[in-house]
Amino acid sequence: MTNLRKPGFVLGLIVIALAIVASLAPQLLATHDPFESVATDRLLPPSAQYLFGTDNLGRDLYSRVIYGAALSLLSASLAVVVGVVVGAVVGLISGFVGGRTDFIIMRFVDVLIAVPGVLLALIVVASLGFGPVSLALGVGLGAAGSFARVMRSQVLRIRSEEYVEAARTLGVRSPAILVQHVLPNAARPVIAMAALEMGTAILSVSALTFLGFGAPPPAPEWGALVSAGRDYVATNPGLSIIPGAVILVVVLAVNRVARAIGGDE
Amino acid sequence: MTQVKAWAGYLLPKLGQFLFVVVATYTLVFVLVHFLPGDPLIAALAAKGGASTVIDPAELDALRVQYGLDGTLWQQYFGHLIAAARGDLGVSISTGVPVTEMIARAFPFSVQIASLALLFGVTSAVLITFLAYAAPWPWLRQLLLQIPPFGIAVPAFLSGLLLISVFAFTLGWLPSAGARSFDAAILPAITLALPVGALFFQVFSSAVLEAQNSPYVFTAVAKGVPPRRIFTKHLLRNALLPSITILGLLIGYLAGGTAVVETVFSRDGIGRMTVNAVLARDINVIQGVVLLVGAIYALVNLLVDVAYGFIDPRTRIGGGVPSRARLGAKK
Amino acid sequence: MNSPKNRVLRWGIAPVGALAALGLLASCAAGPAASPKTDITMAVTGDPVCLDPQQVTLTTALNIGRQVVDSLIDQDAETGELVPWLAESWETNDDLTEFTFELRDDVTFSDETALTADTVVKNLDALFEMGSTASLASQYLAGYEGSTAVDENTVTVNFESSNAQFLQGASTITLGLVSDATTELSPEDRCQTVVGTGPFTIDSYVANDSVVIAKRVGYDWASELRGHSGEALVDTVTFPITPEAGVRTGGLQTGEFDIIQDLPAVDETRFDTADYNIYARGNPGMPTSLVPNTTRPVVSDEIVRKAMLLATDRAEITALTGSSQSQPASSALSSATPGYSSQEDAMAYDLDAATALLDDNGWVVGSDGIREKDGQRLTMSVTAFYGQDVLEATQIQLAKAGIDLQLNIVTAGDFFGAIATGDYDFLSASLTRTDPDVLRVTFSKDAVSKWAIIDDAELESLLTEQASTADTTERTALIAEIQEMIIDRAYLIPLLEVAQVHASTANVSGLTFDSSSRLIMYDVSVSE
Repeated sequence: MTNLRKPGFVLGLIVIALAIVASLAPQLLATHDPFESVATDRLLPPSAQYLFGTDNLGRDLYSRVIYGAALSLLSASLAVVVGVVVGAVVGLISGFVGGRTDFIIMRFVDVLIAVPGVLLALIVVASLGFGPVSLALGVGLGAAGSFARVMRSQVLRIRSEEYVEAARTLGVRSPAILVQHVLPNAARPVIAMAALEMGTAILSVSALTFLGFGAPPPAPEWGALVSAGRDYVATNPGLSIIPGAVILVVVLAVNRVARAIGGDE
Repeated sequence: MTQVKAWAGYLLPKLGQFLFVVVATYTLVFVLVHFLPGDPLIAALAAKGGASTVIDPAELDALRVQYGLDGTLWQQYFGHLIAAARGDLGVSISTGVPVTEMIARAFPFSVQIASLALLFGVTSAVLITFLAYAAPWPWLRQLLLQIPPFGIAVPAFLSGLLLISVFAFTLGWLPSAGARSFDAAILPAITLALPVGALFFQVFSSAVLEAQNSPYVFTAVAKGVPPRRIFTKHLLRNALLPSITILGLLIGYLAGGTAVVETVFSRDGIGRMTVNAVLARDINVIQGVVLLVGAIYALVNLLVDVAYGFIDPRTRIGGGVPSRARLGAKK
Repeated sequence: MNSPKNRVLRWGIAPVGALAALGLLASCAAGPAASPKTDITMAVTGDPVCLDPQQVTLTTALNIGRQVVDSLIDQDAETGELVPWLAESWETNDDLTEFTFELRDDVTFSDETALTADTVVKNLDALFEMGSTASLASQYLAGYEGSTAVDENTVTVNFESSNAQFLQGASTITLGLVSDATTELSPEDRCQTVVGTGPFTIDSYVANDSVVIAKRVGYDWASELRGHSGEALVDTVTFPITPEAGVRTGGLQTGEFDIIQDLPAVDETRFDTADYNIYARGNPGMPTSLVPNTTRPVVSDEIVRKAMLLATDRAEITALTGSSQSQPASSALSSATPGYSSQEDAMAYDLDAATALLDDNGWVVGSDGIREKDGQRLTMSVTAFYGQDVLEATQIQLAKAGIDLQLNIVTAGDFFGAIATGDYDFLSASLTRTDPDVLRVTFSKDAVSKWAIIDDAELESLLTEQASTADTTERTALIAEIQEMIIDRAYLIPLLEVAQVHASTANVSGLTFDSSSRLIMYDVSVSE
């Protein structure tokens, strides 16, 4: 792996590793109970005791950010999974069946793409109720359109290749061809795109939680932390800027690694 | 005559596609919003009645008729569709104002920041590409190329808050909020321009790099033409063209981005209107906005296709859709 | 200078410099400030949604509405005394079913029509007809029978049964008078435009952006409580709708705004300097509280509610989330309400007593720290549409007693939807009313907008009795008894007394509160 010699890529991996640890075992990284309020220690600046300072109820912001990782990142991951699965299935069917079905399916995909992602997610979230799972469904559905397009184009490319044609003339039934040949070949571009989509999904999820469509309080979702800190922007800018910066760093790391997976560098 | 026929053959399907996208967008949103839990009318009454709202069933039924929310789903579906075709998007449930009027009021504010953002974004993307192209040192080039990934990764609420803190509160140069003066549009536009510029950069810079490897550029370099001239005369022109194809995508992005930006900057506009409408379950407004955005997106793509038909006759004869540069596809 | 790094920097800075220049141009265009300032700006927290003062209950809408309409009577915010305003005098019969007002004869609406007894009749009739659309008014008009114009300037209002709160109601924005033309409009149309007799008129309203009011030329009927007479002192007031607290405070610092609504508690010390004025007043009515639905399994247990009452540390909640001007909540009524009687001792914070109470009644602490009894977990949810920080603080405190309070923060629409269907354990909100009748509104089974779901005949009869008791001393005694009963039976868990806290630059003077803690801008002037 030549990538491992690049400092940016390695740094990205480290950030992602930390984020994963924070999501799965936050107690390893957190220094306080994220829900414990110390009335005398409210709105403190960052210090050795409170790495990111404390919020308006005297809770440790650092620990809240750590505990928020699970909610924010798992929603985003779920969104990507939804996008990939729905998109891949639609794209596969559309590309493989072809003809009129393909035409009709792809026009619906056009529609999915025509409605801006955030808008679509907003409506889905509103109709399914606020919370991390509906966030993931909303954001994922918004991304499914592009995955369907990529998958379909991969299917079309591979289907025209000789070995698939050959398999077909040999009487191998369609679904079998699909599984044996098309899927493994189409996997790489779809995975590369999914990796890139992860960054976008983290941003979309945090934007929606920022707008107040996430899990109910006191869940420390990252976007919600930024939003809650806004009232203190003049006195304690760190309350919203630090969680915001954490989102930025994680997305940068994810994108950096995603580009490497895509063989971009 | 054949010319006309060729054009008609090229345009009519695209026009049909445009109409389909608009109608299907309406359908999709109609289905989704009718899943919305809770009664939009209760929400509307509550927004006005606040802490002392009282719900009277008979009154609710009367209001349902008034806002076109009575009858079966099919009646509503076709009723609203036919009305929308005539330019009537119904009445907002929460404010009692016609939806077209609300859109007409909010739309210019969003267009203002969106077009400014497009201008800022595209200009800075071209500028960074040029600087990177002309940079005599590889490390400088690398440094410049690090800027756009930041633009993509930065959450709009973070950049917005930082811009407000610096330019409005600390320096006091620009207003922090509202839409009452032109200069109030600058900070929101910069916030939106970051991701938009970065997205444009990805496509544009890869197109430049591609053009850079073309024979005529090679010849020009060999002839000793200065880099700036090569950039403006050959690369810029050749790279801008494929970049136009992502305009539609950028418009979609801008439409979504306004929701956050207009909230951060307490600014009236389509995005904030949509967020409020979703919160208040104002079905008529949600449908109106999504229909509008979907139509704009489809229209921009239609125009891009037509423009391509003009510029590159091959796409017309072939009848195929011009190949779109895929996002992030830097070779 | 020629180093490559500097070149990059120059490119980087150029657009910023251009923006700076634009910004400077813009501030120049604003022109030199004249003295004294005649056009002022007050940043408000939200869209008024509807401008008709008779229909609205949102604070922003009421604050703007107060400037546009006058009421029959004015009420001294300090003493509670009622003084003449549009009515020169009034009298009531003994059982509070008939009220007669003698109107001033020199008052005109901003559409130049005169205020007559007939206008008052039309106002009240239209309000009563609107029913629950004008929910607040329908409470003041409970039992309204009709009104008659005795002569040009004399009007009599009749009720089927005693209405102890009507006179006070007549001083509120809600019963502020609008012109004949306005009363004829549909409720929706009235929201867009309203014609009153007030010292200002609506100049423009752009939803979600701003409201502008302009001075009414020729206004000359301010009540004696105001600081001057004649026209208002400023020409226009612009209300930019600015939900972001940070943007409001920032704008106050940069001079973009002269006055801001709702100064966050955390910013109070920052603005408590010679450069700014802070205006604070506790809201009368019911404090922000947990309002129970006693038909729900755990909520029905009086022991649990009592434990919750003891386990909430109202002093800490106030310190964490309230204004420095706020008192800890100490009864079912806030301390600024007439008839308030402190229940401080009965509801003092005592975590040990709370846990002991639960221990003694079989609620044992489970493995996750939440108590259980017969397989039933001690978990309840609270539905609210604002005050998230207050509830989060409460949640943390209750958790210490092993009580799990789930927060269900919803939109205003869902909140009232939940009330309509009775689908909640607790509600959380505050109610601003200048009359202790707010207790009946919240707790009575027969109230149109009941919040608490309680089946207690004893409480019910007291609530009904106070509403028809004309004698003030007698009524106050009843109100005290009700407050004691509510706290004793833990029918309410008060959390925080709400205060209105606004701020302005130091050159603003004359901003005052009315008895409902709404702003009066008539006396406002801004020196330069």
